[in-house]
Amino acid sequence: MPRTDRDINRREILQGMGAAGVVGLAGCIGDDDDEIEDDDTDDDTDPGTDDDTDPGTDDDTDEEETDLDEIHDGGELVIGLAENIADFDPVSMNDTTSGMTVRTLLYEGLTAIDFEGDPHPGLAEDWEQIDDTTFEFYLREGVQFHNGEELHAEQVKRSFERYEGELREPDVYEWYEDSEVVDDHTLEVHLSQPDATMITGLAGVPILPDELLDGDTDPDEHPIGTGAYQFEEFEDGDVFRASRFEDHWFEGSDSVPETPPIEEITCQIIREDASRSSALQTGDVHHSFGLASDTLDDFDASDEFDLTSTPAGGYEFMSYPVQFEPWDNANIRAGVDRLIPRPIIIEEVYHGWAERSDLPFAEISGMDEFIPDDFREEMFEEYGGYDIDEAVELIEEGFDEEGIDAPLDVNLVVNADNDDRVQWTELVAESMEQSGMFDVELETFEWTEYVARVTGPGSEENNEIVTIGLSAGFDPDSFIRATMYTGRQTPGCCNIHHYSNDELDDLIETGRHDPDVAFDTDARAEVYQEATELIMQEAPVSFTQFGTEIDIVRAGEVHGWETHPINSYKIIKGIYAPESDQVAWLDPDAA
Amino acid sequence: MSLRRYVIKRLLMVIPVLFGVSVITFSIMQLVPGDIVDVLLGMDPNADPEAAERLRQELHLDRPIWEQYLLWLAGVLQLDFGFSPITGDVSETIVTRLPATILLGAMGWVIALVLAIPAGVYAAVNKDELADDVSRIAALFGIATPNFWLGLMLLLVFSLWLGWFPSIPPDVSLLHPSMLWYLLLPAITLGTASTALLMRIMRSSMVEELNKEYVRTARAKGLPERTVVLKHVLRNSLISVVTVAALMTASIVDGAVVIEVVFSWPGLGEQLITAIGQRDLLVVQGIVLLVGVSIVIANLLADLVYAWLDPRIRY
Repeated sequence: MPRTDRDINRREILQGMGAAGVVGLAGCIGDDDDEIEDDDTDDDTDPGTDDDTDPGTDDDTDEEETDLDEIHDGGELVIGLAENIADFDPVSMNDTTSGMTVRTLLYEGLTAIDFEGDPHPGLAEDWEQIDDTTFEFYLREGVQFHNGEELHAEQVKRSFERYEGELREPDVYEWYEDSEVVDDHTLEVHLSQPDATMITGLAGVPILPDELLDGDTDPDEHPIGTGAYQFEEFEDGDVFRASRFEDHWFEGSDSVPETPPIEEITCQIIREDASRSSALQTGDVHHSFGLASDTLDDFDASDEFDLTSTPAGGYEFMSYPVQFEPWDNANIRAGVDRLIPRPIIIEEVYHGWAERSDLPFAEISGMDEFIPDDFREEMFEEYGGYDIDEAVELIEEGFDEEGIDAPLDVNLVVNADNDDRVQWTELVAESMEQSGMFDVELETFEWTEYVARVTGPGSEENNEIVTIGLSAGFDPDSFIRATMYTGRQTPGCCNIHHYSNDELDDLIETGRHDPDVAFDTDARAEVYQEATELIMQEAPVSFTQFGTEIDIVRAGEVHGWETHPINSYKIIKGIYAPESDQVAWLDPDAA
Repeated sequence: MSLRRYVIKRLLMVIPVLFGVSVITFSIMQLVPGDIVDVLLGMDPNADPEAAERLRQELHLDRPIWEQYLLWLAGVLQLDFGFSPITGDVSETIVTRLPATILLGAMGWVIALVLAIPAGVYAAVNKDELADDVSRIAALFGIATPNFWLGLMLLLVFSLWLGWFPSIPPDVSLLHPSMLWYLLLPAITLGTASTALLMRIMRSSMVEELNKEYVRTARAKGLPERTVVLKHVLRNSLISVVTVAALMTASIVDGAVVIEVVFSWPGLGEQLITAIGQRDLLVVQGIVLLVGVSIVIANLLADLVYAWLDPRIRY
């Protein structure tokens, strides 16, 4: 983002706050992506290939090398959160706010992921792939939990098996068969099938101490992990506090100290966008995110704030009612896809703070690796882009095949409490109407009713186009499995209209689980290119835009902040990520 | 009808109203689309069937609906609002949050009365003069301004621009002076609409009283105007104001939901929004019931105070 040296214009902020007040009020009831969040941890590129990397020795980010002498030790970082922390137990938490506070700040997994999604040693200092379905993990010695317990292999095994039958079971049981404790610091894990995403996914599977595993303490009451911060206090809906864990296992490096410089973290829950924006401007909080799109340019231009952003894994999409005629006709779906005014949505609704989604994979999915530029251009030319003439031609062809006349009555549904989503759905509805091919009726629902309607039993029986958002991760699998794979049909998340295509199912499974493909980048690239072409032809769902992760910190008060593409890692990676040489600190003189 | 009989009659009339409130609140659970257990378990397709069955039994969903209602009501009468799978003991949640909301409501109410009564009196005494016109316009603004917008503007001006108030509650106890200082902005926001309405009622009531015979008599007796207004007229005019002020509890409770979100005030309104977001229906049910009952009680008190102040009122 270009920066200009000017202060925030107060009138603009005033207007922004008024508008944001309306938006935020509606939007605060149930943050959509959080609620139907897809697993944002099941991502990986090439397991086992980076396993000899020592944390703290890589330089994966573009940031400048930090001089340890410059770093000030101590201070309390106050963060403005938009949502309450809903759950403290890793096996059941399904919202990103709980993930970014409890799961990743207090707990750690066997691996850690950097800002590019590459895996690094975490609680496991190394691992070895014995065969397609067997891994041996070597745990660090002398790692302490916040309660003083020492890490051993049995805890890892029990932490994995604790997921069975729980809400987040797929985090582990998508690949886990069983495991054997070889010795106190060695665990042999047997996979039910080869899995390309397992190693990176382990970063999001917290290891618990015996005290929690034995049930002596409830993780909902007092979470205990090995993370760089330990739990201090939570007042429901109000404030969450954590303090630096002085006995964290990291021994320090040339650019990252052995413990985070920031001593205390206070997360203040401030639901209203405008109030959060105000708290950031008055200096009552140091860091916030998720602010109204129309205020971001002002923050970006101001000298008082540092705005950092990166393309993210979240996406918005439309699901077509493929169980009904004529929506079982691919030409009609592909035609509607070309009626989506993506450039206008990005500019008018998101004010440029989002990415276009002409193909089904966002940049962070390793698109460069899997979808090379020439292939991307070829696909875009053949199937993509906002083109009314092409769209009408496709739809007319589809209507002729189905023997129906235009205009076709269509229901579009959306949840009323997400203002951005309502706006882009309206733009799509308008575009469909303008094509002359459809007579569109837009219906809005309250979030609770909506989520039951679109992910509950019988969602496929509603003849309506559904618009909704999901989170994805660093792996291409996370972009297409949840919405298009037969095994992910509702109830649950999120093949809403029960689309089923054997050819696509085979490609999705092959890309992630076939031993000859899953661990071979070139072979995966071929599979995902084939999947891309099939998805573009079939258009079972239409992606409308990919998200951007954005952080705003008070300039001069917070130094070194970086934005991680996965929002569950936002806080810990922004503050302290030894594997990426990333560290932030507070300036005691600037506050 | 004596005051005593009136009070008894009025208290008896509350019973069917409370019954209606309880039925409507209980219906929240029945009106939720889909299976309530699925909703409470977060629409989790992998939810443990045993946990679901346990929850179903705890909520008595395996029994006829009238039995469910009676069991729920029996619990509520013992202040047991149930156990939420998300937040735990609902009664405890409510008790934790209630003091903040009461404090905010009380302060908003006091601000409304303190501003409205003198302003209404002044406008009435200076009827059709500049002060009256100004008060009329101010009241119009007060009533027409959405309280969440007013809250944001107060934050913008007094917190962001002038820096007189913090923009989020300080980390101190509820009755700490700095917390009470912070509370001023939300309380003013909450009290503004009520101030406007009360001021107009005060004014019209006062104007009506000022035209009565006894005022002319008092003035003819040579009583100072100050004594006439403050001792005789004000007292009689307050009857309707007090009644309306009691009835305003409802709008104060309504307003608190939005204002607590704007000011991140840790009260029941904020908890209600949290619970709606988390689909924590037992907490929603508990808070809605509490709000409903408090409004019924406020109405009852208004009627009783009215009857006490004006012996002619017996309906």
